[in-house]
Amino acid sequence: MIDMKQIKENVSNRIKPHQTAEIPADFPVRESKPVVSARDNTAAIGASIRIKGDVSGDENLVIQGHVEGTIKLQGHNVTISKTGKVRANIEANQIIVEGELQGDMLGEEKVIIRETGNVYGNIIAPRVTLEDGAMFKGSIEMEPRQKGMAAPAPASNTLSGSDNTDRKTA
Amino acid sequence: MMPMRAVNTAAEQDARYQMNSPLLFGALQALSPDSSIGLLDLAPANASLLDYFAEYYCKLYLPGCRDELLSLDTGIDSGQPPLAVTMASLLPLRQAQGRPLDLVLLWDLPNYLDQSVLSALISYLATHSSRDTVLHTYVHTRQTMPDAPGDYRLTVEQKVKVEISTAWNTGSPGFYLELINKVFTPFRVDRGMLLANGLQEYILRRA
Repeated sequence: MIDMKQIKENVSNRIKPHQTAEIPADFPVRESKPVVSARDNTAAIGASIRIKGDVSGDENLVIQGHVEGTIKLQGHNVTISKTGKVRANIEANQIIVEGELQGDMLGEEKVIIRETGNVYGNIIAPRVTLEDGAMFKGSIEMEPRQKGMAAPAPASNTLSGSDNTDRKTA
Repeated sequence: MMPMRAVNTAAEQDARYQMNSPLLFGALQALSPDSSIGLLDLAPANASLLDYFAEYYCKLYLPGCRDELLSLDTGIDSGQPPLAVTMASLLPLRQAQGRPLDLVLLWDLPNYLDQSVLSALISYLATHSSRDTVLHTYVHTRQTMPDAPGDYRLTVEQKVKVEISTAWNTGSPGFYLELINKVFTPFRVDRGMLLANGLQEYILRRA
């Protein structure tokens, strides 16, 4: 099991300013941005990082590198950036895919596949957004939270299964 | 198939247009939003279907396997696994766990498939269907048709937006009612309607 807090601490220590001059030129980290943002409590897996295993934690996660295994961040958001390549099942509050994902997604609130996203897997979520240009192969299943509730107005390009008492009059 | 030729009419050159599709929307509207719906769309996944089902309780199967189906080589010495095995691989409907599909959207794909591939596809779909399962498809009735399937999207005005990405035509398979019933067995034509652009839409059900 990989603890995101541990990753955060390890990577934060590595990028301390006074150590920058000691990092060799061929050090594989290419991103100059902070890996951990204290402001929005989001951790990042850099573009050159490869992780095999189970990822869990209590903060949002941005994946720019490679992850293979499982990702469980209940109540938090996972973003797979354009450079991210993930082969894992993901459980999170909101999942945004801009890169590549091979695996299933369980989104508590929403799953968004951006135009650059490439997904091969199945989705269970109350709402799914598929932008034009996105590649998706798999199934999309709605999992109503409270069946029988009045349906909200649908957002563009979204699939909502949480509330379905009113029929769409498209 | 007939040799390809360039388009030669104004209507054919209009690569993007909207059309009415009464049988398709009739089939969609017959689905109850209050019960779990199983729908298979053989076109590449697009947002319009998600928009339409925004308020439905449903499971959408979007295998995105159109190109793979089109490229299947049915030659005897092709070295490929049997078509039935290929279908199960391309269309992972085992996730349906025995629940039959309610609606299958074939769009214009049957016009472009090798007949043995189409038969294998229909046989595979039959194993995941019930008497209530509805198949919808478009058939080209003119002698020629675009040499690649079109992209079809549902609009909020209950029309279908058609986009043809090729400027070339080829011979159409010349489907007629009896042939459709034969090729689509065990499904049979329930309703058919000729559309303004020469496409005929069909609703098929299990016999």
